Amino acid sequence: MSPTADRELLLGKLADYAKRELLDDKDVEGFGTTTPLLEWGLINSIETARLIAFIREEFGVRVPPAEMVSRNFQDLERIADLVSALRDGTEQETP
Amino acid sequence: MSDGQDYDYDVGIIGGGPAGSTLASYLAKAGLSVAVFEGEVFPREHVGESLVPAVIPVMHEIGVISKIENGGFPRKYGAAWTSADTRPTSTLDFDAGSHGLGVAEIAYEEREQEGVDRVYAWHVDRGRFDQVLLKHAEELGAKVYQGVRVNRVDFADPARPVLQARIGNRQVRVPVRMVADASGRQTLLGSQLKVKVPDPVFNQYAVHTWFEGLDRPALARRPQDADYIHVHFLPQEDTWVWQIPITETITSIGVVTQKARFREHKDNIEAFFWDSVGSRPELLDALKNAERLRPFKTEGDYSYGMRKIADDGMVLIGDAARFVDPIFSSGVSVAMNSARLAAKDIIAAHAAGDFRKERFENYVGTLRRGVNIWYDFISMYYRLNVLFTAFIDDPRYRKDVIQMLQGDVYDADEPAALTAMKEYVAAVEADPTHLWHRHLGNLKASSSALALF
Repeated sequence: MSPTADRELLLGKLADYAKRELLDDKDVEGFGTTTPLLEWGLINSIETARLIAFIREEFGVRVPPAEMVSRNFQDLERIADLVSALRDGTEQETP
Repeated sequence: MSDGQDYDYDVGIIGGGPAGSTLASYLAKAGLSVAVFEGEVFPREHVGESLVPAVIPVMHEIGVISKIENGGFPRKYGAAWTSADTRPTSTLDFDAGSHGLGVAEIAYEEREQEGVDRVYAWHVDRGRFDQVLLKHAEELGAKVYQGVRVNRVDFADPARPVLQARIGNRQVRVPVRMVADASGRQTLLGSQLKVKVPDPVFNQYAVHTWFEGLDRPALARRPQDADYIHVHFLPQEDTWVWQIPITETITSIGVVTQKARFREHKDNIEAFFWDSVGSRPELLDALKNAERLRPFKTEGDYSYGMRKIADDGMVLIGDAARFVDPIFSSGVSVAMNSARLAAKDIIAAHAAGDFRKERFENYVGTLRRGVNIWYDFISMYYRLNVLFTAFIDDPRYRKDVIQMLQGDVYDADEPAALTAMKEYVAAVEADPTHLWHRHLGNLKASSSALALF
C-alpha cells in the first residue's frame, strides 16, 4: 500500500472511531481531522484511556506514558502521526 | 514457675487481635511460655473485615486454617472497583470495563501464590474471627487474659521488662523476658516511647456500619462477582466506599475520605455518610433499601509510622508497628505476617537466651521491605488513581498488581508494575501537557514517608 493510501486508511479509522465514540454518531458541522479535540473538550480521562485501548487493538501499538501528551492528541492528524511513528518503531516502547 | 526465676513469662504480648494471637500461637507451639493481655472481652467489634490470601500460609503454620475454613466466613475470590465514570450501558457498543477508568475486577486465582492452596481469602466478622484466633492460641498453650489492659511497660531493666496492668482496682506487675506490642492502633509502646510519627501525607477518615439486606448483585457489574470486596469510587477526590460481605445478608459499608472533607460536615457523621454515598445514585438506592444494623462508627488518625519497631526486649507488630490506609485490605495480613516474621526471631532469641535488639534484625528488615511496597502502592493509588485500573487492564502488569492485592510482598522484590507506576507518575508530574496531568491527586508521598524504622 502506498504511504498516502495508508495514511488515508489510518485517518479514516480514527475518524470513524471519533464519530462513533466521541460524537455519539451525531453529524457535527465542521468536524474534521484538524478539529482541536482537546479544545472542544471531546477527550476526557475515560476517552483518553478508551482511545489508547482502541489504538492498541486496531493498530497493534502501545502508546507509552510519556507520549500521552496534548501535542500528540491535539487532533486526528497528530494522533495519526503518533500511530505511524509507533508503528514504524521510531518511538521507544516504555511502560 | 521454677524457684529463683524472676519472670512470669518468656514473652508478654499486649493485645489479643490477629497480631497478638498469631504471635502467641507460634511461640506457644515452639514451647515458649507466653501470655496475652487483651483489654477487652471477646467477641468485640473491630474494623478491618476483608482478608487477603497472604494470611493463608500463616494460618497453615499455626494450624488454624481448618477452624477458619469451617467458621462460616464468606469466601472472597477477588476484588472489584466501580466508578461514577462508567457510561450507561445502553450507549456502549463495547465493554467499558475492560478499557474504562476506575472500573476493574480481579480474581485471586489468576495468579499462583506460594504457600496458598486455595483461590480465595475470606471476609470476616472480626468479632468472631479474632475470637477464633485467640482461642486457638490458648489451646496451643498460651495464657490468655481478657479484660486486662496493659497501660505501661517498665523498661528500667531492659533485660526484664515489667508489664503494668490494672485488674479491677488492683495494679498488677508482670515481669517478662521480652514484650511484644500488638495493641493495634492504640500503639501502646509507640506512644509511651514517643517513637510514633503521624504520616505527613495521609490524613484519611472512615465512617462505617453494617447493613442488612443490601442487594449486592445489583451493585456488581457482573452478578457472579457480587461477593467480591467492592471499592466504589465516589466522584470526589480521594474518596471511596468499601462494600464487604459479612454474611449472606449482612454487608459492611464504609466511606473513606480526607479528614478535611469530613470536617466540612461539622462532624455530623450521619449527614456525611448519606451525602457521600448520595454522589452515586445507584449506591444510595441500594443502601436506602437496606436496613442499618449498627450505629455509625468512625476511625481517624490512623496513618502513622514508628521510628523504631524493635529494641532490647521488645518488638512492635501489626497496627502497633505501622498502619497506612485501608484501601487494599492489608491490615490483618500485616498483623499476621509481622507476627510470623517476629516469631522466627523471638524463637531464635529464646534459644540463645538473648533478647537484645540485634536479635530482631531479620524481622525489622523484612517488615521494612514489605511495608515500603505497600506504602508506595497506596501512594501511587491516591496520587494517580487512573493508573491503578489502567495497570489492572494491562496484561503486562495485571499479575503484578494482583500480587500486591494478594498481600504477597514480604519475601519478594519490588514488583515491576510498582516500579513502572512510579515512572509513570514521574512522567505525568513532569509534563503539564500530559493528558493525565490534571488527574494527579493532591496526596503526594515522598520517599521520606516510607518505613521510618
